Amino acid sequence: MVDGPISTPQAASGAAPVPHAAWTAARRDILEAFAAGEHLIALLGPTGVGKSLLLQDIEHSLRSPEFHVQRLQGDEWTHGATPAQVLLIDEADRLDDAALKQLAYRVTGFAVLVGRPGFAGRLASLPHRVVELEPLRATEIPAYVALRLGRMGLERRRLSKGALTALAEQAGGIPGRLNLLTGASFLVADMAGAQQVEAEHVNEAAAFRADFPADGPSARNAVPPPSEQAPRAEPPPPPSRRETEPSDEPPPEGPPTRASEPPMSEAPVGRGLPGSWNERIAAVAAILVIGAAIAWLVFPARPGGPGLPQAPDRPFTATDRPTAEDFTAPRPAWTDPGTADAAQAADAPPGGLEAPEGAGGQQAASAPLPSGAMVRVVITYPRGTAEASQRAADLSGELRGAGLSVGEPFPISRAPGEPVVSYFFHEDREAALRVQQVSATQLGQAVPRLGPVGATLPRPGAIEVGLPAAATARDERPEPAEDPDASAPEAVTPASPPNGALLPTEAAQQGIALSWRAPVEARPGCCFVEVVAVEGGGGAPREVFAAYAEAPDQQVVRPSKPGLYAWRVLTVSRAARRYTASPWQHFMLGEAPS
Amino acid sequence: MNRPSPLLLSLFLALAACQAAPPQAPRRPVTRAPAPAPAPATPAEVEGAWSFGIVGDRCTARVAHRDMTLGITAGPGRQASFSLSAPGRSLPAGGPLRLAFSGDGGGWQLPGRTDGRRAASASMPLNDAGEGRIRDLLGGGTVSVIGRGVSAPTLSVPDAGVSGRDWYACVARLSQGQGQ
Repeated sequence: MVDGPISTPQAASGAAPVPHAAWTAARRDILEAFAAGEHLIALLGPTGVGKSLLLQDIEHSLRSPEFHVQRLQGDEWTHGATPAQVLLIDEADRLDDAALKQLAYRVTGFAVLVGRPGFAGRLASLPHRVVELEPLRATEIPAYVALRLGRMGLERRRLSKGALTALAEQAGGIPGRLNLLTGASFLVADMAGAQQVEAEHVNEAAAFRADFPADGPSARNAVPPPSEQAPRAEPPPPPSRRETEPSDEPPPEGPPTRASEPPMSEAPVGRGLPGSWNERIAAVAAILVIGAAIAWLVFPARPGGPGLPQAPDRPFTATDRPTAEDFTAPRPAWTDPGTADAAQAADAPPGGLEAPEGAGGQQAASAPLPSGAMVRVVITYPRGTAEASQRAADLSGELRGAGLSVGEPFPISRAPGEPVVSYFFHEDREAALRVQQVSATQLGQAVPRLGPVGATLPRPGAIEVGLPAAATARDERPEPAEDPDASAPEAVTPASPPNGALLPTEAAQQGIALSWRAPVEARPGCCFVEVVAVEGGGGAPREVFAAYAEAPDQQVVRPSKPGLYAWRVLTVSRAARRYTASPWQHFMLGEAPS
Repeated sequence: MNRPSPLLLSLFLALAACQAAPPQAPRRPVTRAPAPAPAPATPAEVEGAWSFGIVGDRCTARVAHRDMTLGITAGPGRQASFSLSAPGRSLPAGGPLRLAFSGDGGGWQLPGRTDGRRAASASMPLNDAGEGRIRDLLGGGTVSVIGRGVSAPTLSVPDAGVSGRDWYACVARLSQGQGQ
């Protein structure tokens, strides 16, 4: 796979790649999924659309001292090895089913699997989210080609309007094909002694490709075969240009663009050299070069390998991290920590999100329920400081933009001297890291800490961000000591109402007693109860009850409206600062709203 | 002059030692019932503990101590109310009073009254000012009841910490009319 984003010449401008719309959308979706705590993303797209480059960009964005980010090829997967927390796998269609299952069902972590569209079929039975990297839009192609020509050192004015149209038709918006065809078209024009690159030159260059289709069926769908574009009995290469078949050489050492760039384009082989032998030699050379380029497309080199044109590696900076601009659609922030152990996992669909079941076990058309705690970010700032208040508002917007649930910024009297990110249960550390990462511009390298709890235990999933009076302050405290050995509390076993129960509307007035079998050591305050209304139409679950239970094994709730509800209990250990969530249970109150 | 004999001196000293304690007043017969044992004094200030909940379209919180409990309910709608209960007769029955808060974030007073069961209540609209009062409470301070016949202690309200600040998001949503 080759270039995806529209790129400006690095040497000229020093600018990072300029993403096109689809590339930006796919990137945003992946980072959004990461921020939302999703487990498994399938990044799909035809060959040459830029998936590998996007994967590299994602790697840059997620790279952090706190995360182990690993990017590898599908054939580099090792069974039995512990995968990294953040795993980015190119050519994931080379993974076997066991590996896919392992990735889909691991309790924590984040994985992006890159493959062609057909790969989706193998993931159908696994919990995942599909992000499709679409080709360039037709309206984006002129700008892309212009940038590409500039990068290749080719003159834009030589490309006729018809040639541009032909490029768009032949490449079908696939950046990799555009790259190849652009260079090859100039080469063909040069060999023909033409100053202007016309549509016929593009079509001739494409004809070589047509003989050696590099892509699978999906790719062919994206770009109509040349025969559909310009029907003819056989490819019409220039006379004497097909004496040598393109070879199956390994990918060229340099970027393919170089093969068709100066000096050949600047010193056309055939120009001013009459005589058939010169033309033949030039044609053979051209075919070899184009063949090598086609071979490069057929056998894409590994990302980072010498054969790939890539966005230059940039040092990781805070601006590389996901920002509000990377996200547009706020989503509920679900995370995956604190799920019940394997015993509960058997009841709850793994993968971080659970599809709610309606009464009688019928699937409800609604947003999935989180298997971990619902992350809620609390921002504090120094009281009476307008500037800090503004920073808090900005930070809130940034985090909301990243799909996190953020409370109203809260002024406090005793603000910290530096930015602080605190979590209160070990299970929430990963979420705290995400928060820190998303808001790195304000928080810098503030290391999330296990924060102190007072008399009142925070609810699971609470993350607190404390802003200092001065924006430039930095967290210089030593690394916190944590006790990773403290065991998580035992999950409760929901008892009543039975899962999928249908309850009369009147039950709500009397109070519905949610009961569970608590662990032996459970005491009042042990258990945090969540009840959510499961809305239809894919809406996010609406919280209707959330509090520490008054009794260790029961809580009475009074939902106000008929509908489908889900509830669960998070067993909390104050001593261990850990929690474990029970599987979601469902009940239907009255009749489900239509 | 004759000196006292040592024997007499010893006898005198022994008798004096036996009379070291002052002579007790003669007991008088009890003529009335003894005074009742004094009740344990109600402290002037007690410190409560926070708890929070989100229940339907209401956000509920409580600062509880055995001698005084303050309840806060935001919602439904843009209304918030406070309730105060204290054991015994430390709050008058059916009378007006004022709820006074003082803390780091500022101070405020709210008119209220008690019902026949001596439970006090006060309410306020959940607008910016109402939100601010709740925020002040969450930051910590003291709540006292002012009025005739009030002997309830002052309630010391601790900083609600991250739990309270998280819960405040529920209040803010109601205040902004977003409901639950």
